[in-house]
Amino acid sequence: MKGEVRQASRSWLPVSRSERAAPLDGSPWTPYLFAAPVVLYLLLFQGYPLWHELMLSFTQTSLLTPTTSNFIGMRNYAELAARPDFWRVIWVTVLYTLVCVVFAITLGLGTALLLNRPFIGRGLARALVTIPWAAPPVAIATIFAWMLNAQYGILNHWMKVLGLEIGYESWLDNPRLALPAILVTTIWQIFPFASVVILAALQGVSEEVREAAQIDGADRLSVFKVAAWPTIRPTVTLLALFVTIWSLRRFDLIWVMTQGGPIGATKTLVIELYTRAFISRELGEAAAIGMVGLTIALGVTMVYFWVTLRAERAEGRR
Amino acid sequence: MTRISRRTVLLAASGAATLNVTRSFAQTKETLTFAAALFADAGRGELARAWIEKFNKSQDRYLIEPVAIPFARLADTVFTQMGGGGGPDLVRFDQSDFFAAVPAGRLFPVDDLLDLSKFKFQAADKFVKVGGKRFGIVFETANFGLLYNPALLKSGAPPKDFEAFITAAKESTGDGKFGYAYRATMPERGGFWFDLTNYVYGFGGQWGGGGEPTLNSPEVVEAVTQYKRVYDLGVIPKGANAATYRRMFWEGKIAMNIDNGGAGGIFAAQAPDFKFSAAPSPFPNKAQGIILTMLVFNANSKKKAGAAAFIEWMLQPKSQAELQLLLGASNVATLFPRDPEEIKRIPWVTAFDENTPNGQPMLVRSLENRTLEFQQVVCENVLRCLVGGETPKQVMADAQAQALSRILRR
Repeated sequence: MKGEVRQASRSWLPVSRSERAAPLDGSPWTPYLFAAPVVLYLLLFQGYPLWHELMLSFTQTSLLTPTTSNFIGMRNYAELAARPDFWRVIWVTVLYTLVCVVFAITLGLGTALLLNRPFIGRGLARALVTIPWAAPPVAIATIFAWMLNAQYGILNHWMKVLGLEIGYESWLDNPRLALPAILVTTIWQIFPFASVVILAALQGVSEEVREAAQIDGADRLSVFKVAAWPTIRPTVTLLALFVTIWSLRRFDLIWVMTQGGPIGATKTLVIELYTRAFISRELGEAAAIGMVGLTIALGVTMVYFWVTLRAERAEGRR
Repeated sequence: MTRISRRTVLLAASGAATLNVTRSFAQTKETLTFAAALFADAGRGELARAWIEKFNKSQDRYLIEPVAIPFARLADTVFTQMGGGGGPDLVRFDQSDFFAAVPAGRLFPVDDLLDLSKFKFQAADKFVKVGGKRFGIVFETANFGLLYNPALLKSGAPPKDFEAFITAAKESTGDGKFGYAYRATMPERGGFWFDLTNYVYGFGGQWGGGGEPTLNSPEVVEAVTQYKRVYDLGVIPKGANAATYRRMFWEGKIAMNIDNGGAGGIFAAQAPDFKFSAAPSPFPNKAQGIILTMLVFNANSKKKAGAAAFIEWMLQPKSQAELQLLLGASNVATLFPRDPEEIKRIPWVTAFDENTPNGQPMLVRSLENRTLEFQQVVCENVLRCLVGGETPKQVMADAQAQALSRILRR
């Protein structure tokens, strides 16, 4: 107690150089010791598999004989680059990811703003909105595949009831409709997550700033721009990064609904990777596809950090 | 701290010793794992597990533990395990997986396990021998034929040729009913391949021969043309998966369906009062595909004696009879006449049995081990003409080119 008082009374004094440099227990290795388990874990369970995947991508290796590989250098990458259908896979992946990010965040933001306003049953509404996110993707994919079924699907049934009969439209077998159908399913599942995260961020918005803006006669949009957006922007940016990476690697929902078909209309990088690894059993080529995916994900992450850094510099925080 | 008496320690030690003795008695039986999609099938899975249990009861040295893996995941799972040096001791493989596993050295020759000369095998037995060695035992063969609902056909009789089939399909379509059903989607790639292969064999084609793919041969192009013709006629429930259209069939909404005998078994089980019949497929050529599954022994396994005991038991007439009964309209490894009572109960089964001499595995001949890769390329390209509007000739030429460059790397 006595020591604490002494410590508190000294807190305003400048810290000496020796005190600042000394770690808690006096050893300069302490921070490294604390960080070591995480670093070891990352090296073992992330670094080594990634290194192995990189090495695998330079080989011709079969799933059936994974211990015998032929080193072929960059041939897997060259063959991927020469395949027009692979560029289509990249295009589908980028399109799918972009639409997912834009719609999930826009809908999530809109829902969060609605749920942030007081109304009767708000607690129930907040709980209900999380259901799609909480449901397993395979169950959702199966349910939507049934809803979109040409013969028994509820969508065709209602179209018929409303007089919009266009024959037995097979949504998931039509190359023009399959990707939009999958996007609707995905966005329906993921936007609640965005909504809940943004809603949490909205709780940190200063009431004083909001009221001050309102008193100054600002309209709703201006109040949002001045009071809410600066507070929730870092959260939304981080959310965009997460949704991007999750969309780049989403497999279960697409696989259950279309397996990348019809004629490659919904084939994303992960679907192509799985097809090459487990149907064609070409582990080397699949690893090369994985490395392409990783490069894209790293690129997106770097852009995120660059945007964050620029924003912080603009605000004078760095 | 509580002091532990000498008596307590002795009691604990004797208890542990008793437990250990009990456990060692239980462990005297060697356990072999047997992976099969059959064990995951609704209805048949339980019967198959009960059949395995009969083996377990008959043995004092070996136990078979059934491992249920759904069909779509079986090859991925088992091949990954085998590649890692493990995997189940016994596996029931599909034909394409079998031919992929043999050249990779993943299977142990069965004729090195036990003497099989005393057994009289069915015609399909020739497909389990590669390079003079037997790498499996036929577990089940299912022939294909035309299942039809006489009530929906104008004449009440099955069509005799392909043009009559087209006419019958058109006549029976309408008012929520369809003349015919088949698969044409990527989520059902395996079934799509089966249905398409029946057309190819039926129009005299083959997917390959002499080490070369023949995806753009005139017979294959003709088969794809006819497949597309049926697709464009509006006589099929487009996009319906097999589970859906089989249900529609027994609900009286589908007139005809070229399917394997197992489907007939499903109709008979699901709708015992539903009247349907079977006939040969209406193609110019009698050749049709067969679904062939083999029991194989994993080369990584050391439990050879246990595997030999199970195969010996499985090939006994009583076990074969029980297996054939639980599999329904399929055939088993050895020649086994059907019980007249069974034929009386499911008379349509004879149409499938009679087609046995015309049955061929649904593989790319001479390139059997690459069948799955061909399946992917062929299905993707055929869909381009079904839903993408391109011509069968063009898409099959593209499929041939892709097969040469992507699969055979030429």
